[in-house]
Amino acid sequence: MSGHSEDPVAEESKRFFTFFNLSMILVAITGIEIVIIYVQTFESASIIGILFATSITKFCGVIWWFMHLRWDKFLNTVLFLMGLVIALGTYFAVIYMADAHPVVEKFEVSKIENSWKPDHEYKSNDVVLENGVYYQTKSDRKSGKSFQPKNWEKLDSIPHLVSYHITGGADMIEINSKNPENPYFLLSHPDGEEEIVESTVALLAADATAADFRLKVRSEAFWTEAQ
Amino acid sequence: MSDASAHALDNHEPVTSTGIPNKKVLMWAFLGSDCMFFGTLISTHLIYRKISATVGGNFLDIRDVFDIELTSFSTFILLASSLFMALAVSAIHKGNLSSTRLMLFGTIIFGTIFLACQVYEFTHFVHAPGNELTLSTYRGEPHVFGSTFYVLTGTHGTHVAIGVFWLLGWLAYSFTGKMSTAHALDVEICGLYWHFVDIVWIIIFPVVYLMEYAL
Amino acid sequence: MATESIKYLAPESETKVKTQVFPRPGQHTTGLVDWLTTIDHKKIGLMYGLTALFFLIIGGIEALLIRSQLWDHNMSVLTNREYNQMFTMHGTTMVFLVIMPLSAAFFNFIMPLQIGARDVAFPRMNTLSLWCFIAGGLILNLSWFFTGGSPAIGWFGYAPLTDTRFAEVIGDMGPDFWIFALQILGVASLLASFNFITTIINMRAPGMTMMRLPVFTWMTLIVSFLIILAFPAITIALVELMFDRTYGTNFFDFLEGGKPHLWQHLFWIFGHPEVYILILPAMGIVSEVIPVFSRKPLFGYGLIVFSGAIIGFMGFAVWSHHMFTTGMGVVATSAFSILTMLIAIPTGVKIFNWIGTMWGGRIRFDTPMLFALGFITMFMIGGFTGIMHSSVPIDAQHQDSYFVVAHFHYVLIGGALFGLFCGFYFWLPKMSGRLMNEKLGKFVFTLMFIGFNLTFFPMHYLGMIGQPRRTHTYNEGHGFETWNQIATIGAFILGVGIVIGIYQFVNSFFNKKLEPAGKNPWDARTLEWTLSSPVKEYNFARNPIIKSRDQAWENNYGPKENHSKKEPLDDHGVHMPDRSWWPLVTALGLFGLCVGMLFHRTIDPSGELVRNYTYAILGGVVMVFGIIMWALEGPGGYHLFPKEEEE
Repeated sequence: MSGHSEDPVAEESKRFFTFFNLSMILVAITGIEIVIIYVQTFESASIIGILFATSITKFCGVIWWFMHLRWDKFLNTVLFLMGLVIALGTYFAVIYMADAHPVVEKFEVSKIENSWKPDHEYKSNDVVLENGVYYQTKSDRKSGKSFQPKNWEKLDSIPHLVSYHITGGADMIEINSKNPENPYFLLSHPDGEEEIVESTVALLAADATAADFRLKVRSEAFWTEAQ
Repeated sequence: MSDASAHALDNHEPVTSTGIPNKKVLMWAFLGSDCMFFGTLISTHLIYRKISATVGGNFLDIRDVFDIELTSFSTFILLASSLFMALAVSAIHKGNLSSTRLMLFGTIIFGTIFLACQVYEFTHFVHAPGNELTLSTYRGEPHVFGSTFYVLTGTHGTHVAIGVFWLLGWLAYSFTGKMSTAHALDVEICGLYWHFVDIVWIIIFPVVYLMEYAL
Repeated sequence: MATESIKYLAPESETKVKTQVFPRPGQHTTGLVDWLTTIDHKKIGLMYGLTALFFLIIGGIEALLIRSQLWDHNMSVLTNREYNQMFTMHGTTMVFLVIMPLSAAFFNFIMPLQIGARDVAFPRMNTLSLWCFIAGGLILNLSWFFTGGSPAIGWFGYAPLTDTRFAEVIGDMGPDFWIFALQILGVASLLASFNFITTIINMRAPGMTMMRLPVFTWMTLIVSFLIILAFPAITIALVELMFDRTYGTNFFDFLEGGKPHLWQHLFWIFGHPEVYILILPAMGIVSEVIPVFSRKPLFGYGLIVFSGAIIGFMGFAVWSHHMFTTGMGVVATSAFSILTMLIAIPTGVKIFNWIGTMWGGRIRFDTPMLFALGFITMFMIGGFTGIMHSSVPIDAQHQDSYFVVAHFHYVLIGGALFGLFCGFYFWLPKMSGRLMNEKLGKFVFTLMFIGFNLTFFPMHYLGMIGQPRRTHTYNEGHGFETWNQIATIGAFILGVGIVIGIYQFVNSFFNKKLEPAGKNPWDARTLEWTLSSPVKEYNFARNPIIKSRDQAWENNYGPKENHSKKEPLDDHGVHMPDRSWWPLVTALGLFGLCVGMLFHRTIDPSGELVRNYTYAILGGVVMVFGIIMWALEGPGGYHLFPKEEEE
């Protein structure tokens, strides 16, 4: 017994209607949850958010009224909340930590050794090596019989092809050079797709290989580096 | 203070330092502990949903197996049983024995229907042609979804079954002629357990079932 | 007191509810039946203590076998599998069958006396806890006799080694025994903790407010909360493991979608609060002993209680510091590292408060005080190495080396065991009514202190020079031999000390030549020291009305307004709960259920797996029967009529 009422019978009779009404409200909320699932017009994130809110509402409804916490001493609530709070805290942490772990499958840096070829289709930003000097074209063009320097832009730096293959999902990729004499920095924000295969042209002051660079990949909870 | 102790002693309960009967403190502490219990199971399920989400290279779409109409039906059933339970506790506080019996009976019936739906659901899932979901496989491929799903909902079902058993005990006792308002506290404790089992389902239903339709 | 409305039976008749199966044991029951059916918290405490001391010897033998194997390089005292079994059983035994039950023994015996209660809130459930504990110890040690022998998986049972796929011996049942033993022990601990929480919250004597509770009772409360919130995690982890091993689920099977890493999380979510469960009772005991033997009140009572609560709460936030080398990622690793460093703060507060208590006091170096001082110093050393682990780069060096073994033995033996032995020397006179030989006690302390430090201090060095843990032998040329030999010698000295101590404890209950203790041989401070030694069946003849903290001290030395009063002697007598067979029957049923589940699988002649649940169901039926009869029997009770001057 809660031990505080003057007339338990009258109290309990009043509560009948509370219980009945609460029951109807819970049924209605559950109905809403099911309808929301059927009606597929909402975005996934908002459906999950709504489900979250409705379950918390129902949870509190049952605890507070059906389980009498409203009318009982506060210590009962405290005893229950202790368990609930620790459970929520611990398990949110565990779920957060259980994340996809990005893996660097391949990381390569190699000097571009394309020699200029006649009658070749070149795309914008392509790089060629002619007579020991690097040139880059700014537009798509087809090369003629002999090399015309005026169609090409001379490069002071040495172009390298940087390519990487990352699986497991990432939301940020950072590449920087370990050698201050040969600086390089690249920051990319992929969309979080499972597999990322990219390559890009890096213009460097000197020759370099993958060992001179640091590739860092970040997902929600992990940082990984290329070895 | 003397009022409270008079009330407490009417039920032959010892006077306690807080005024709350011992059994009630015990049950609330137990329910707090049970939160950790189900928290572990639910988070295991969610973690594996997050990091082991594919089977045979594709995202595991469990909607092919789930029968959301059946599960929604059993959810409403369990909610209804909760109402009956609250009314049963109310009735015994008022000393109305026949009403108590009826409400207990209602709770038991609805609880049993819930269990029957669960059993049907499980057998249905295990034998669903082309979409078999077993403890260790999905469509014949090894997967962890069945493990987490069946152990989570199975543990919940076991809790419900224990509750039904407990309620049957009370129903039987109500026919012995020895039941009175002196037992109101004990029925209330049983009610607390039953409502807790209901709120665990209030969490499981959206998180395990409905969310699959939102992914 | 408003007792008017209760009607009691006439004094001479016994309250017996007749059942179909057994008559309920009455108030004059003696002998074996008394011990099997008792619900008296004091007797239950004694049984917990005696059983735990027995397991201390078993676990100690396992340790000495380990130390013998490591005496020299490439010894063959134990094979590699046997070695793994030894450290598994040693760890599991010491944690679950020794330290926890010893703490439970003191909680059971002393806590109700400290709050002025006649028994715990649920006496029969208390008995069930005891028998479940004994059942668990039995199941764990039954493993020696079946396929595969004892588990060889470590006390922490990491997946995927526990998967049947990796069993060294075909059909190895060791891990299955381990799983069921831990489950029953978990049930025992949970039931006891619910009991203690309800008792402390609800059954305090009038005037005993929460802030007048002795620190030991506070620690009982905090530890009980830790148990009820931490054990569910390992219960589920064990259920998942059992399903993996028995029903082929994939919870921890990495080839089929499971992640063994999850086991580590779930185990340590339990495991870290568990180590606070192991140490807080000892801290509570020490907090009682130091003020008594310094003849000064505890310095900063509120802070000590508050830090205990903070340690308990934060204990849930640091579990992944056991997993620093598992590749969790920078965010998680740093977070847990910082939280682990933070948890040192309340621990340090307690130590400063104990020192503050001794400061300016008149210190007596009796045996309990020696153990308490040993606790403080040894626990500090263990704490320092613990803080070292909290730094992740350093932990990467310590992980899996003997440095960690040194750390946790400093906190567990130097901390928990010394604290518990302190409790024995302090409280056993109250329990047995006799004073133990002080000279022998000091000798035990000397042996234990020297033996313990000889064994474990060198392990710091051994770890630093590279000796790995859990490895059954080492080769020549590493330079491990010398310090290992010193450690082994120390271990035997420690063992002798412990055995003599155990002998002293048991002997004090039977040796009539020992001096009687009287009510308060130590001139101690808390309520239990106002009672006769040994304590009477009903504890308090008349309920005390509490007026201050450290009530016994105030009664002897304090001003009149602080003295406790007593409630008037009741004509109705003192109401005592009745004994009962049903907890024992329920525990037997649960034991049968577990054994049935352990052995339900057979292979029929055609090679098919057959599942036969008959014995499990039988056990379950007995268990349920026990519970139903328990419920029908009701608390029962009889009345005792202590004389005016008896206490």
